[in-house]
Amino acid sequence: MENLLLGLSTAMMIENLIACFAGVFLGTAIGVIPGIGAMAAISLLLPLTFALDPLTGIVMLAGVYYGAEYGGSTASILLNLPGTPSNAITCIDGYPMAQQGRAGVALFVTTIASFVGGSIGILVLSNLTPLIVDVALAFGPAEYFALIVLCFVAVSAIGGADPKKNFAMILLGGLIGTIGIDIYDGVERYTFGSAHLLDGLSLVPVAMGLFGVSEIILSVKTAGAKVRQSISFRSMIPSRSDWRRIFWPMLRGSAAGCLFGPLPGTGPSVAALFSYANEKKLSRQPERFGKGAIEGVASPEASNNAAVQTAFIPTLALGIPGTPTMAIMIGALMIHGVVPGPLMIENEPRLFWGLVASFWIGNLLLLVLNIPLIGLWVSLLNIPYRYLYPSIVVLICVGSYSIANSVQDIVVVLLFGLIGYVLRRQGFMPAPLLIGFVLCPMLEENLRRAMLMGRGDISYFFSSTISVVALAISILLLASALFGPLLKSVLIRRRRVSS
Amino acid sequence: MLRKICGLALAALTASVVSTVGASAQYPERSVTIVVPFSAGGNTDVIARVIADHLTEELGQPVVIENRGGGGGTIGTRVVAKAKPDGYTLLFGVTGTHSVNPNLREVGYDPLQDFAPVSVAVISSVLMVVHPSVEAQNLEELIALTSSSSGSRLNFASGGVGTVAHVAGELFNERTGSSLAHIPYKGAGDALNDVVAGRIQVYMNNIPAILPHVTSGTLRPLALASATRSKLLPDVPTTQEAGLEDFEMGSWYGLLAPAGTPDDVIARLHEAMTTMVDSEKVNERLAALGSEPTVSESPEAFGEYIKGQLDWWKEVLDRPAFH
Repeated sequence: MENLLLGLSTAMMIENLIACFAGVFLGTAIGVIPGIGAMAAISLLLPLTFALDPLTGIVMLAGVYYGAEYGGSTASILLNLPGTPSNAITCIDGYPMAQQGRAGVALFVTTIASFVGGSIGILVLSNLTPLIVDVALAFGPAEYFALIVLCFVAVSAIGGADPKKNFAMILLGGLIGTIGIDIYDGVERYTFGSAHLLDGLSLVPVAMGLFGVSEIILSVKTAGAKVRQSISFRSMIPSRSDWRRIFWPMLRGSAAGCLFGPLPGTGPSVAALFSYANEKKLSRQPERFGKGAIEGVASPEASNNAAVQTAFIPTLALGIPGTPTMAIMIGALMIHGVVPGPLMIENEPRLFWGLVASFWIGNLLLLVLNIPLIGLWVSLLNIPYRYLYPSIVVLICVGSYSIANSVQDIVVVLLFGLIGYVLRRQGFMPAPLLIGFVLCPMLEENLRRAMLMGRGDISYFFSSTISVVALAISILLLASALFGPLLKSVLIRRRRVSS
Repeated sequence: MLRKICGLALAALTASVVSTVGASAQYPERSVTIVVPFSAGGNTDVIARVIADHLTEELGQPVVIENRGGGGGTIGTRVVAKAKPDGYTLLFGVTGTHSVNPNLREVGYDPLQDFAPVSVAVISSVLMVVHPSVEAQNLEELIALTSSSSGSRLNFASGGVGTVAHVAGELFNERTGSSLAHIPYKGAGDALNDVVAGRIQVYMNNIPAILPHVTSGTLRPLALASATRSKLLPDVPTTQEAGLEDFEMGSWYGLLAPAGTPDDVIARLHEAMTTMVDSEKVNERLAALGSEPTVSESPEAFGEYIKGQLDWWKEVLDRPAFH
């Protein structure tokens, strides 16, 4: 409490308040705009922060980072175009909601879910940091491997109706994910001698092409069919049954976000994928998912916001960045001579607690900022598509370029737009491809590292409680998926026989 | 109208002629770009920005950083190799771009022929640390442990094949008859998680990557692979003092221009770099990053240094441990 007061006293200083507001406002805006994500905006803003006090600078950059998660779902819901990669999964149920005329409700729910997720994330960050650091350190390659296996089993339900097609997409995504130098022996894979492919393809252009550009190409044929949206405040308020539906999914999503956020490499995208799949698994009516289920919007949005807040734990307390964006945050602090690491909270209490307090202020600002803006976003749909879509393609290209000043990334965006278009026309879904692209390289990396550390002994995977539990849950899930329907049909037959 | 256009064109032409002629007369006349071949916020980027700030003050013109990451530094380095040699596009080169990568693969530039060296900026030595769970209190005890039969259970980490941490570990194995297992990661940041957790017992990497964990006591420093001790860690002995002869290595960061840049431009830049060593501000800011400023005696001396490093790495990377 004393710490938080110290933090509030610094965060409430006028320049820090302005920085916080500027950050979250800009964050929401770039989140709403498809293609320009937090990473691009933070890279561009970084030089600006060198002139500021370190706390003011990091408050602003952090505001952009979590603000983008708030805004990111807007375009997913309204246009079926994700604002950032971690909002891609929100398209699956958010867009059908908009088509049913419930865009306002969906946007209201995402704002609430984002606030709940963000708040739980901050609570964990301010109260459980030492514990979370221990948990993050307990994750070695065997534990990561087990967790990724669990993710794979859990998310295998995401995608179209045909499991064979989903599996093919996961494999294709995995192959695309292996492009680049193999870190274990330096061999180049699928680079065709091009230096641009040595580091592999990055997530943003691939996701933006697959989901964004392909959607725009697809809609060329169907554009014009618009659904009238009511934008009165009353129509946005979720009904009582909506509230009942989203209560537990939001909390479960937040919990998953708090687990995946601090683990280096996973972050908000994996957290959102996992939460969505988890809700679909737990739901009594999984068939509603993909057709506008409100849980499918609330859970991943709570999850990615919890994840972006807790991602600060390893960044600040260990100096270990979990995502490329976090690496930039560390750079922003280091340039001022503040070195994130085990001693930072002790040595720089003003900075650490000031930042935590600014998260509270920022999340409140985002809540206040976003609710009135919903009407404005929805009315954006009135812009004729012939103006809206070309501008979005331009923005997607600008956003992909500005992350690494790379023209090649624009080519990647457009290429994956075409690939996504062809695949979707053939009934393949882009979500499993993205899952394969994100998870397969992590699976390989940790499998090989675990085998190196275990000196080739397979029992290394069962040497810790975490990995044993995660693997056991995976096997149970697999078994229930394989034998569940069989068991059900047997039971039904028996009942019929007995009656 | 036509006259106006002609006039404008003429003015532009005169301006451009004047600026090319004047380039060497009173360099720099406009802002100078330093290409950092890595992404913003990384270690190289942060060091480069400290240097750029210093050069801005010295040259009286803004010196700005442009990040051109990708291909382990190859993309940005290539851009500068092909840039106009007028002193307005420079490169912040490092061990990876000029000593390691050209020995590993076709990079599309010649690290010696395509560049006019200005000066080194920072030389960072390798610090050998162990996790506190390792009993060894000094380098001698560590060698005794790693070269014994139980030593083969221990791991060392690196940020990838051909990085200084990888080379340091393999050379340590070779020199001491140890068999530490090499566990590569995607970068030094990724490796740190397992080092701090103790799954990696021995770690040898540049000081900046480890310093915060040494000062906090999470990791135990044993020796510095350098000829002299570091001001940042005065209590840590050099490898020679600790009993391991001829085991000195590290990474360098320095300023280079495209080949063909006028000599007086190079001289002006070198002069601006030399004042860095006495600048309190630069020393303070680099110390926070775990580094100290270093300047080459002359641009030629830096050229010799780069050549020496390229040869050293070539010889090292040709060894069987790296194939």
